[in-house]
Amino acid sequence: MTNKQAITPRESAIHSSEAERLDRRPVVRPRTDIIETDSSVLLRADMPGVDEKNLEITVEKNMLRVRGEVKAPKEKNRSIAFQEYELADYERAFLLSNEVDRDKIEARLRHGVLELRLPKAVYAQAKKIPISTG
Amino acid sequence: MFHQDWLFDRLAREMNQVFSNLNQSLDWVGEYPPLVVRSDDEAVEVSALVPGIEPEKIDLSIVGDTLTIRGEHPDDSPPEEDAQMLRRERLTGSFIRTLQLPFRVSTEEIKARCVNGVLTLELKRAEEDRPRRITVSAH
Repeated sequence: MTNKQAITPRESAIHSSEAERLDRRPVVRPRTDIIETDSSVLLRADMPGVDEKNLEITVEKNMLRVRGEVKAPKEKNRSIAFQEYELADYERAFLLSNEVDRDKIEARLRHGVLELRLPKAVYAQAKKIPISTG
Repeated sequence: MFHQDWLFDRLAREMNQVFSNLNQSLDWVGEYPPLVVRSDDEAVEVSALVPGIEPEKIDLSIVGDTLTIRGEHPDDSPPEEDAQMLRRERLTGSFIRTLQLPFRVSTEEIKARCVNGVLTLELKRAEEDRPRRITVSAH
């Protein structure tokens, strides 16, 4: 991966020592799609179970960090027949290049998917220079 | 012999990879969607993680004691021509999952909710399927 990208997931940013918390709950990395165009970057992260009140998005220097907390549903006293996922919070960090305009980041949460739109600053957008002939 | 060892090693390595992935992200490698099923004598509760799926696009059906969940991920590929997919981890396409319930359920009393990408079904045991207490008289 080249450094030319406007955004780079930081796999090592959330290693266990940072993500491990005093409470017992596991933290998972949300599955994420990243789409880049000349003018912006679109990021979509699967965070099922998170609502907007328990979602935190921060930008500090070059680090964009998303955190989502999942509230445990009220449980009836039933036995588990089988369990393929466990209640976990989400956390992931991304490195932003200088192209991204920090003040214009937009976030939307829909059906458990966080969508972040990160516009590039105007000066960073690729400009086509017309060549005149004759 | 050598070949088998090699194959086994490779398999073991791959399995390890699968499990370490499972630990650190939502990389569910089994059937989709991942489920949690809880039950008691009266009811069964099924939860499924379906992020990004419109609730109206989820199709549920029950035949006998078999539940089927069908759905499709929306096509959210970018319309822009210059768009470049830097990373694609989220699932695409359609899915179907069938599940055998612990008992027959009443199709009249199904509660289905889908909130923030989590589908929850509450299914009551069918009346005719409930255990009946038979009192034994002394005479």
